[in-house]
Amino acid sequence: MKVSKNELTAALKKSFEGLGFSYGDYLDAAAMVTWTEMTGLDGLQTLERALPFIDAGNSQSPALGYRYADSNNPHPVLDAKGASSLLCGSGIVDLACSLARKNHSVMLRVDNCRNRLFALERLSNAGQRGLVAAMGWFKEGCFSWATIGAGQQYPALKQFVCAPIETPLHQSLWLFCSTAEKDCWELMSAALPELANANKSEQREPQTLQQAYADSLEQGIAMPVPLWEKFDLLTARVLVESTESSRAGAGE
Amino acid sequence: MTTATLSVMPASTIDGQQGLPMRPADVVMQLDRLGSFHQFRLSFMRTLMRRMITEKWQIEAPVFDLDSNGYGTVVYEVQAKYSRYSFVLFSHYLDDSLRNDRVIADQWDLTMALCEGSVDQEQLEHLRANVPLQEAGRVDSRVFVLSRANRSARNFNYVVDQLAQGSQPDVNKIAEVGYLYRTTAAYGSGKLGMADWDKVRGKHRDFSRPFAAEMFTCFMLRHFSLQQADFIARQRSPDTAVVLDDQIKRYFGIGNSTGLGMAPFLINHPQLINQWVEVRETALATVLVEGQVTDEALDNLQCTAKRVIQHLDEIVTDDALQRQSNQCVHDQLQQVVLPWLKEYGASLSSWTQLTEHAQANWRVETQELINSLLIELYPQLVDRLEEQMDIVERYDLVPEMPLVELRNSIERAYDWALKIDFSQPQEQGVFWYRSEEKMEPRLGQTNIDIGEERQMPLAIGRSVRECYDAICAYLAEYPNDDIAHFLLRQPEFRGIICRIQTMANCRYGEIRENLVHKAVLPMHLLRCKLSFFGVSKFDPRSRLWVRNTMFQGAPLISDFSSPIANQLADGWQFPVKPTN
Repeated sequence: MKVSKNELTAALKKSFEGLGFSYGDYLDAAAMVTWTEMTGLDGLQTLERALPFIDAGNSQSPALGYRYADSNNPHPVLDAKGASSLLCGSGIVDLACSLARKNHSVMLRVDNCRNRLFALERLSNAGQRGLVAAMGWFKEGCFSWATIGAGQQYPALKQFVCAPIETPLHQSLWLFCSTAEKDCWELMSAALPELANANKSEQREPQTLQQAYADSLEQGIAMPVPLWEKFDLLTARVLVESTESSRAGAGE
Repeated sequence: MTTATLSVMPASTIDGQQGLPMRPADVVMQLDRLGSFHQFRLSFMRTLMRRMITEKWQIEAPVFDLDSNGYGTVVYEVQAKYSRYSFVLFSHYLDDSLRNDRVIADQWDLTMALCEGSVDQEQLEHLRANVPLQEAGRVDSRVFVLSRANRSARNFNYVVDQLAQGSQPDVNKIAEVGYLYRTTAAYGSGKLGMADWDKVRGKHRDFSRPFAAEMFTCFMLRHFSLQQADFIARQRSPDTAVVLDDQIKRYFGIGNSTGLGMAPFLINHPQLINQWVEVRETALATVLVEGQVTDEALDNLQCTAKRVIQHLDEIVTDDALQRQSNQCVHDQLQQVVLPWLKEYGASLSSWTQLTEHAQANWRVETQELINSLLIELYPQLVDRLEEQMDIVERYDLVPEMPLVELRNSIERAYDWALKIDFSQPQEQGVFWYRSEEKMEPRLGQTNIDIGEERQMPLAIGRSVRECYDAICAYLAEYPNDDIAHFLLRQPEFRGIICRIQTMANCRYGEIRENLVHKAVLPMHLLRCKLSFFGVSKFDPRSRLWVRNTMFQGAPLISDFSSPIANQLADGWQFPVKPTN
């Protein structure tokens, strides 16, 4: 089964609304999943794995804990409190953008954040808004690293094989934003010495993501039927039973 | 006319139009005024018609496979300026008892699809298996509009009978309805597996304006309806049948039935609505500044006003309010506007004198009608705007903005929302929700109907109020914080702040009305959008849905090659009965 971008976005919006996301959150979350799927980053698969957790009472944006940089922590640290980046991704990227605009550049660490892949769409958004941005995160023995230049549409992605990281950083996300060109990897390596010996295993250029996006737009997006049916079930939560009285509310 | 204070207005999104005396949003974006808009030169049907004729689109039917009752398959091939397309139509028998114009229907007389390129047999069979199912079927990204239509039982049988007997139908009877089929939906924008709007606007330049493909589908439906009537009459009585006279054919449009589904679109696409309104207002302001009041222009205006009077006179509607409104505008045009133009027209130095007088003395609907007619007078000034109806919508937060600045912005741009006292029961007397029946948008009464907790977030004024109150409380504690920090603590306001900041850069956009007020009239929302489509003859069937007519008076495909094609392309608005 293939669906269009608009159809997928609409289904996701309603599904997230059905899960209990608030207005704004469900718009952003739908955009994140659609973009990561269309650019070939398996957004739907990641979402499918995330749904049970989100549906278990984790569908509200948490008020994010914020710790300013001090002598122990050279960079501000946010606590996402276990939330999916579908919910907190916008907030943390917005904060990074705001701090970068004021201080020219910023590095943030976000702890306890799930489904960090989705924040990539927000990062691209920051690039499109004229900032240099980068983000990195550990997952399953790899460190993923994404960068986007000011005014660019799509990021470049790299993956490094490295030794497993200790908790709690295995669930952390590092985020950089700057108003000027910067060697973000140097900053990242300085913050995480473990990366010094990491070996690059995979690389995707922005053009690859762009082509995948264009192909999805032209040919439609492959959609697993069971997941589509799951969306229908979630959407049903926002629908209201039809009665004689409600039909009058449609003009009958 | 009230002139906007340009220094506090956002920059125009229309190319090269800065500095015009645009009407302020608090005048234009009132719901009752939006609901008084009439079709105008840049309405989508009008621009499509000009494009088809100017670019000499070729339309033929390589497949016209109907039985004697007019049921079967038709494929039209369309050679437009940039590409070739196929319009595929299935005509089905439908029992009268099953004919339903609501979105919840599941069978129709006609179902249609507009596709890119030519359609081969395999694709045709796929379309045959899915298009008749509409929402229950699936198509692919080669399709970009899906539609369906029901017969007007009154007119269709009458017209076919007349033609079969060798007579032309009585135009007085046609004037009562004005179409042979009503379309009840024209889906595009990627629904049901179709091509996304992003694809259509980028790949198919012939349809790169908003709703151009949907309008074309309705135009082709009209063409088929006339062909089918001729065809059935000939099948029925080959010896006596005549073909429908071209003048009468032009007087047939396509019926349209529009319900609440259109209302959420207007609220959920404020940037697009802003663009449409701004184009219309730019056209008007351009005419007021640059349009010379010449004898010819004055004659044209009076001539068109007389035609509108006849047009209004010929509208048949059961709705008492609409009838009264039509009558009032009719009388005002006849008894006040035309005499005023006769007395003062020759001394006018600018049309602004007319619009200022209208605003001070005449009904809102008359004012907006005059605005449409003024725009009509100066194609050379306004037609360049027709490519500017589209916009890539993008809603971005500005997280570094000081919160106090956002508060000030709300006070300035959303003063209308802050004036509403939402503690009064009538201010939250209704709610919008989606029914489990095909997700149809419906209006519920607060504390009476079920579903309030699942309402759609269309009460923008209320959301702004809640956000504003939260910001004021927060600022008392953190007066120097920015939006990003506010949202860390209160993320639930992210959506509405994103909207507020985005719309702060738009001149128009937000409809200045409490859409959950007990007495809200969604009809105005429907009429506003339909005016940009270019429909005429509004016939409300309740306060929640309206029938109207599309393409009535428009040229026929056979007119495209006529020596007077350009004249026909431009002179079909406000159709009146043909004279035999």
